[in-house]
Amino acid sequence: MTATNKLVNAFSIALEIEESEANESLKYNENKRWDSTAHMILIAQLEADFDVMFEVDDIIDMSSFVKAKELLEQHGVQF
Amino acid sequence: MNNIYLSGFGIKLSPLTADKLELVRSWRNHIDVAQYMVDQSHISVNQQRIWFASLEEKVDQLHLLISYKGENIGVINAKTLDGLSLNNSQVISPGLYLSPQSKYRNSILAFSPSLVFIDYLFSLEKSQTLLAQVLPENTNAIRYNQTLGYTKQSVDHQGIVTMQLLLADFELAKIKLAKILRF
Repeated sequence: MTATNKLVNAFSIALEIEESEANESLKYNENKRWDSTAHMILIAQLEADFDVMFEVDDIIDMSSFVKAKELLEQHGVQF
Repeated sequence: MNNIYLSGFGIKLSPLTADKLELVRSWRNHIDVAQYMVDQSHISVNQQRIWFASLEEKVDQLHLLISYKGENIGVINAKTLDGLSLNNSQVISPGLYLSPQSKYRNSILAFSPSLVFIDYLFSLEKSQTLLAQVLPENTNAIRYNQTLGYTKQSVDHQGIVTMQLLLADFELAKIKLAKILRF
């Protein structure tokens, strides 16, 4: 599975959305499925799938698909 | 005026003060907050002042301001359901609302005030059970409460969902949340 596929899969699981909806236009305040519980599931899923541990400030600031991707890149994940 | 100050998981809880009343009233009256309240009536300046003055003598409830990195982001409160003081009641009903403008409303940080406050409520001498009442359409709040360990208990004739939290379930939920909210 590619890194992009893993990222899409994590968003799809956490927000309970179709994989087609997990794309670069997905933002925290524009998707009703993105609530505090989904945010928690998303972080747990990303940290497990990519074997990374985010800084807590980065966790709280993770507010979009693009932001998640950028953070993972900072942790050495290549897309 | 209560003198309860609590902190943890990145946030601080402090007594609600007169200078913050208008800010809090604006949050409480905002449609994004009021629509999920059991009592959705508009609160006037005068009503808010009378309510605040009445808190001075009340021992059955507690209202604290939530702040994160110096920014006021919401209010958390608790009230007993039997009229006893918080220290003497076995069943307490907590509530929470965050500023409609806050970017933390749907963030994992929204769990921080509840984690700190529920810890405090369960530390009170007699408290055994926390009860939350949620409108059925407020699915985010139902999920939020379930993540904190609450379970659904009943639904009344108006559809209002009553959820119960026991200490053991809260402790398990807290472990899970603390793995991510690692301040």
